[in-house]
Amino acid sequence: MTILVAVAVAGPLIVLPASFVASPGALSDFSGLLPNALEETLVLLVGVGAGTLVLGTGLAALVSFCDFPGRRWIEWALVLPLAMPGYVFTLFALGASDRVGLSITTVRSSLGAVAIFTLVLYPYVYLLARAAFLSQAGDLLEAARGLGMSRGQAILRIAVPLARPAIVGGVALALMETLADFGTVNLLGMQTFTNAIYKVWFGAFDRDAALQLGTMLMTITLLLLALERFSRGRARYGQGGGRAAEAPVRLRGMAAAAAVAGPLLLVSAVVLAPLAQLGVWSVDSIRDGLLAPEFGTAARNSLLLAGMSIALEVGVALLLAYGRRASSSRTSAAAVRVATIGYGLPGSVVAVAVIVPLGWLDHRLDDTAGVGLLLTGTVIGLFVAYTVRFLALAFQSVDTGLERVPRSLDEAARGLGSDRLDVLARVHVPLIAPALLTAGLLVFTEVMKELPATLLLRPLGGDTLAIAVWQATTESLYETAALPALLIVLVGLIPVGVLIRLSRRVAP
Amino acid sequence: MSVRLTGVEKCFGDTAAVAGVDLELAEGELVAVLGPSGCGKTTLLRLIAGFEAPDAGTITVGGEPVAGTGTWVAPERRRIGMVFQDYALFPHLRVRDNVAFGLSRRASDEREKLTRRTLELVGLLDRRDSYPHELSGGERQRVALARALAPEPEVVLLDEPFSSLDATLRADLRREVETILREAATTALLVTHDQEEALSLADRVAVMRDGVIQQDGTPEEVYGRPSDHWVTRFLGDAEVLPGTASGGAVECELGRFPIPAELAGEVDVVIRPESVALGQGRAPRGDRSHEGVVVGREYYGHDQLVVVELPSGRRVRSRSIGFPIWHPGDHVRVWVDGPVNALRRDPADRVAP
Repeated sequence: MTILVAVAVAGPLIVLPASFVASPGALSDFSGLLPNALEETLVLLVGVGAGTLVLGTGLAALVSFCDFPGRRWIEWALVLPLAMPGYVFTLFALGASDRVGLSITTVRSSLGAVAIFTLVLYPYVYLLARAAFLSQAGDLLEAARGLGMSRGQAILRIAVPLARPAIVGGVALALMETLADFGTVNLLGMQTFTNAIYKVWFGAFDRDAALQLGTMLMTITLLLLALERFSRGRARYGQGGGRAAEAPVRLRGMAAAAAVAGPLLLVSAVVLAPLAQLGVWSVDSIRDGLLAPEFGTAARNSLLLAGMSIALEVGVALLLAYGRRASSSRTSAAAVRVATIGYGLPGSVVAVAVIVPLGWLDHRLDDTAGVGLLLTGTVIGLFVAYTVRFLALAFQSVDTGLERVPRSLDEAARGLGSDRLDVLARVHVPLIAPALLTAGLLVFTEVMKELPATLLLRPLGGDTLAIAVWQATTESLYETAALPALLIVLVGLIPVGVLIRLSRRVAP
Repeated sequence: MSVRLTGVEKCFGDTAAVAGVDLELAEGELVAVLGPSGCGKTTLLRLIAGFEAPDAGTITVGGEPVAGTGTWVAPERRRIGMVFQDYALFPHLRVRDNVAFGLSRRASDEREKLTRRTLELVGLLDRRDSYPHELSGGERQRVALARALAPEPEVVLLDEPFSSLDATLRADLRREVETILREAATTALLVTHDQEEALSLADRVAVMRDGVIQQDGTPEEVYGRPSDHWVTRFLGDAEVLPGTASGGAVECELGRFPIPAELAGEVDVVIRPESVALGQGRAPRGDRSHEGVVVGREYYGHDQLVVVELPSGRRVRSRSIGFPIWHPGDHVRVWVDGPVNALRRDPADRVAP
C-alpha cells in the first residue's frame, strides 16, 4: 500500500528528467533565458544564504544567551514572519516603499529581493539555531570559560560551531523556499528559474522546455535537500544533552534597550507594519469599491481548495503512515521517502511535472469515454499537485502522532476482538486527533498561500486569493490586493500560533 | 484442552525463535513458560495470540485450529485475552471503558453487567471512572487483567506481567493476580524470566531455552528433578558432585541416595545448597554426616550461604537460616537433608568444579 501511494504521488516527477530524453533540443529556443536564470538564482542563493545565516543565528544567540526585559515575548515574536508569504511582503514593500523614501527601483532589484527573502525566511535558521543552543550542554560553555575565554568568545568558538548542523539545516530550508518562490521574484522582475518556467509555459507554451528548466531547478533543490538531510543527520550526534546552559547574561542599559528594540523593529517591519498597511488598504478598497469583482469567488475557491485538501492529504498521509506501521520494512521506509519528496520541490516544478501524465490520461479518457478534459481542465490537477507538494507536511504530523501510540495498544485491541478498521476508529483516531488537526491546519494554510502551482494548473474561473493578490500587485493595484493578502496572512498566523504554544509548553 | 501447540516453529531471518514446541494447557490450568530473555517465550505467546504466524506446526484454542496447515484465524477472532508487559491500557478511555472495550458486540445490559462483575473481581469498582494515568502501577495491572478477562476468553496470556513493578509490590500483586485468575477459573499462560514468579504462581512450569521447551512439569519437579544441567542452574544454585549410580541409588562424597533406576555408571549428583545441612559436635547424623571446614560465608539476613571444604578439597555451599553464625576455620559436620538429583554426565554441560 505504501509503495502504491509512493508511485502515485511521486511517479509524475519522473517526466522531469525524462523530458531531456524525449526532446533533447527543446531548451535551445530559450538559450537566452538560461545564463540569466542561473546568475540571478545564484545571486539570490548567496545573498539569502548569508542574510538568513547572520540574522537567524544572531537573533537565536541573543535570545538564548542574553536576558533582557520582555525576552520571553520577543523570543516568540521573532517567529511571526513565518506567517508572511514572500509575495505579500513584496506587495507591502512595493506599495509602501515611497513612504520610507525608497524608490520602486530599489525594491525591484537583486538587493531588494535578497532583503525581502532574508526578512521573511530568517525564522527557519532562527528556530533551528535556537533549539540547538538550548539543547547544548551548559558545562561545555562553562569549561570554555574556565579555560579563559570570555562569554562572547565561548559562544562564537564553542556554541556556534556545535550548532552548525542545525544552522546549516535552517539555511538550507530557507534557500529551498527561495528557490521554490515564484510570487516574489515575479513581482520584483527577477529572472530566476521559476520565472523562466512561467514564461516558457505561458509565453511560449513549450512544455518540454518548461520540464527541462524544472529538472534543473529540481536538481539544485535536491542538492540543498541533501545538504539539509546531511546536516540533520549530524545533529543527532552533536547534541550534548545534560543540563541546560548557564544562566543567560542579564543585559543592562543601552545593550538591553538595543536587544529589545532591534527584534521589535524587525517584527514590526516584517509583520505589524504590513498587517496595518494591508488593513488600511483593505478598508480603502471596500470603501472606494476597488475590490476585485472576483474577490468572492476567489475567497470561496481558496477555502474550498484548502478545505478539501485537508481531507485528501490527511487521508493519504494516514494511509501511508498506517501502511508503514503495518510493515516497517526497508521497502516501506523507502516508499515513504519517495512519496514525501515533493515537499522540497518548487510548486512550479511539481505543476509542470504532474500535468504531463494527467494530460495523457485525460486524452485517453476523452477518447474512450468522451468526457472532455476531466483532469487537467478541472481542479483535480490542482489536487494532485497539492498532494505531491504538501503530503510530506501532513505525513510528518500524522506519522509522529501514530509513532507515539505503542504497538501493544493495537495488539491489545486486536486481542479484544477489534479488526484493523475498528482499531483505527476506536484507538488510533482518538489518540492522534491532535496530530490530525495539526496536519490539517498545516495543509490548509499552505494551500491557502500556494501560488505557482495554482497559477499554472488552475481551471478557468479558478482564481484563488493568492492569485488575486499576485494579479493585482502585478498591475500595481495595491489596495485591491490588500484584502485577500490580509486574509492569507491571518490564516497563516494560526499554525504559527499553534507552533508557539506547543513549543512554550515544552520549554521550561 | 484449552490450548494445544504441536511442533510449532517460528524463524525471524536466520534465527529460530521457536524451534519445535509442543505444549498443552488443560482447562483452568495456570502454566508458566520460564526462560531467559531471548529464549523465544514471548514469541510463543504472540503465536498463540495471533500476532505472529507460525512457520510450521499447528495451534488450537478451545479445540478449534487457529493456525497451521492452511488455517489462519485473525487475533480478534481467537477468544484470547492478553495482558501486556506495559499493560497497553487505552489512555483515552476510562477504566470502565477499557474493561468494556472487548464487549462492544454484546448487548448493552450484558456489557454493563460483565464490566461491573469483572471490575468487582479485580476490586476496582470504585476506580471505574478514573483514567489509566491516574492509577497506581498495581491498579493499572489489575485493569489490564480485568480487560482481558471481561470477554470471558478461552485463555488469558500474560507477558511478563510483573516486570514493570518494583520488587516490594511484586509479591503482593502476584498473590492478587493468582487469586483473581483462580476465582475466574480461567486458563492462563504466563511468560516470565523470574524463577520465583514461575515456581510460586503456576500449576505447571515449562522451562524454555533457545526456542525449545527443555522441561515441562510441576514446580516441584522442575526445581527438584531438573532434566539437565542447564535447567538445574537456571532454576537456582546447585552443587554438582561426581558420583556412581547403580540399582536405583547413587554414591558420592556426601553419601548414598535413592534416584530413578534408569541411570547407571558415572553420573553427576546435583544437590541444592538448602539441602546441605551443617552441624557441630560429634556426628549429629551418625555415619551419614561428613566432616568439613568452613572457608567462607555470605550473610543475607533471612538466610546465609556457607562455603564448606570437604576432606577431598571439594567445596560445597550450604544455605540455612541466618543462625548459627559460622566463622571461617570452624570445623563442622556436613550432611544432606533433602532431595538429591542425578544427571547423566555430559562433559560439554559440566559445571567446572
